[in-house]
Amino acid sequence: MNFGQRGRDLVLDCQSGSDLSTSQDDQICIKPYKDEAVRGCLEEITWHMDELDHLAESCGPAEGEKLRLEVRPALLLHDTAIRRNKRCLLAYTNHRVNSIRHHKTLAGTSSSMIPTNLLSEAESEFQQAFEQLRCQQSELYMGESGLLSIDLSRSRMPPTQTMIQVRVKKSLGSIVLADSSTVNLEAGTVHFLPTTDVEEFIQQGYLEIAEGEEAF
Amino acid sequence: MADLNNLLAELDELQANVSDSGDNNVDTISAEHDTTEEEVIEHTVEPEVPPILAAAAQSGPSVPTNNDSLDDGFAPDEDYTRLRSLWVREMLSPELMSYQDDTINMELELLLGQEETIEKYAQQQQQSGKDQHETALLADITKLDAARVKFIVQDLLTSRLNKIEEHALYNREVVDRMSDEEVKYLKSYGELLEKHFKRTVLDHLPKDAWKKLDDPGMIDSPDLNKFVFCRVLHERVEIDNTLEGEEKDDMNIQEHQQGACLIVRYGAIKSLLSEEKVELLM
Repeated sequence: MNFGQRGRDLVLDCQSGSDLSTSQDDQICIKPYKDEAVRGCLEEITWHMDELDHLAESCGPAEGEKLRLEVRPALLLHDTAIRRNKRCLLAYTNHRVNSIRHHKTLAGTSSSMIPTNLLSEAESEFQQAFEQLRCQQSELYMGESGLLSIDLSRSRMPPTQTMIQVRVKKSLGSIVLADSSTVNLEAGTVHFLPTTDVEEFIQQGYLEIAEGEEAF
Repeated sequence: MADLNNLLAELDELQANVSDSGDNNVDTISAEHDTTEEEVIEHTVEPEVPPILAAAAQSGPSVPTNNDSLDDGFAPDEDYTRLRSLWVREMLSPELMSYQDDTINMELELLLGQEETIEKYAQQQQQSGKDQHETALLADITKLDAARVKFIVQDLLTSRLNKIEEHALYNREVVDRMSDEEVKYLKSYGELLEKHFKRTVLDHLPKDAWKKLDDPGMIDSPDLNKFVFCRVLHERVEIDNTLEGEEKDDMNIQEHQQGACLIVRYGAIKSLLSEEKVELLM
């Protein structure tokens, strides 16, 4: 039996590759969760544990005696294999947790959630709980009046201008801006709007910045 | 981008020059065309500070009160400079820096004041009085200033949260560098992460002895051997480039004068940074 092969495959999967899945807004997010590989690794751990129990029962010492020398290498091998598989599983899980965090928090990335078909059930719940945690942290800095909106859920691009010219790529219908005015965002139209109100739509791909003479 | 500090100061200076030179001020502007002809455009300019801008000069937070600094035409905002240096340091260092309670809380209060001012100007604009254009200009300038400060505060706090999450288990030992809110965040995030690991991996392990998360060598710590750009602020500093685990050697100690720009390992200047003898450069 090739001990550690499944753990090794999981760790190699953490490397960036060409088989990254894309979300609907064409941003590379995360590879699909390798459920079978993880399950295989856990089964290997269980097999090692069974072997350890078998060795302890059949070759174990009588009461008051020490463990026989010839048994110790086998016990050590199984224990080391279990710990190695555990480290590989934790490394794989930690890498995916970091990918979920970075997808949400890096500047320029979409604020939409990673599709659940790419994540395990536990990861989907983690993603939701993490977003909620970040939003709760943002609310701590809002002030009593609620006027101050410090958004800590993600990093933002540096502000260059308060108003920005945008062209609508996908229709959004009527949206209400921060100053309570309404604007109708139909595909193909060009608008001059406050940057803070449209930044998120630009990053999600619904709007694009219209620069140059073609904007006029 | 409008510079609120200079705009009103320049208008005052211009008005003072105009009143000294007499009643008739002729501003001559010469323009040269591509052809050999020259056109001189003459028009009379009588600058006048609108009353609403003069009132803003009295009440605005960014206007310098020291009259000596107006002679230079530039008065650096010390609070903003301090905030910016905190932000640069936090962004460029690999580890979590100390939380500067006073500076950040003061900037948050300043931001709140500016948001309330913008709200007030928005209400005044809706009343459509004769000062509508001046109100709109003031509102835009205040929004630009607020956006600038808000971005830095937001990015500073977000960088800190990212660092807390990146090395959550390691940061349990450096809670003295965090604010109370960040300590609570670390605790919540740590519980969330532990719950996720347990559900995915640890609960499937047969024995409790294998279920630990903090075995030696398993906890990630920030990479203090990362190279950073820095500038020496003190007259003379000594930087020891000895790596951890190596024997101390006088050949590894270098002396640098004030103003020197260096690329060094972060670990070598960590103590100098906390003493403010060097600063990190972007």
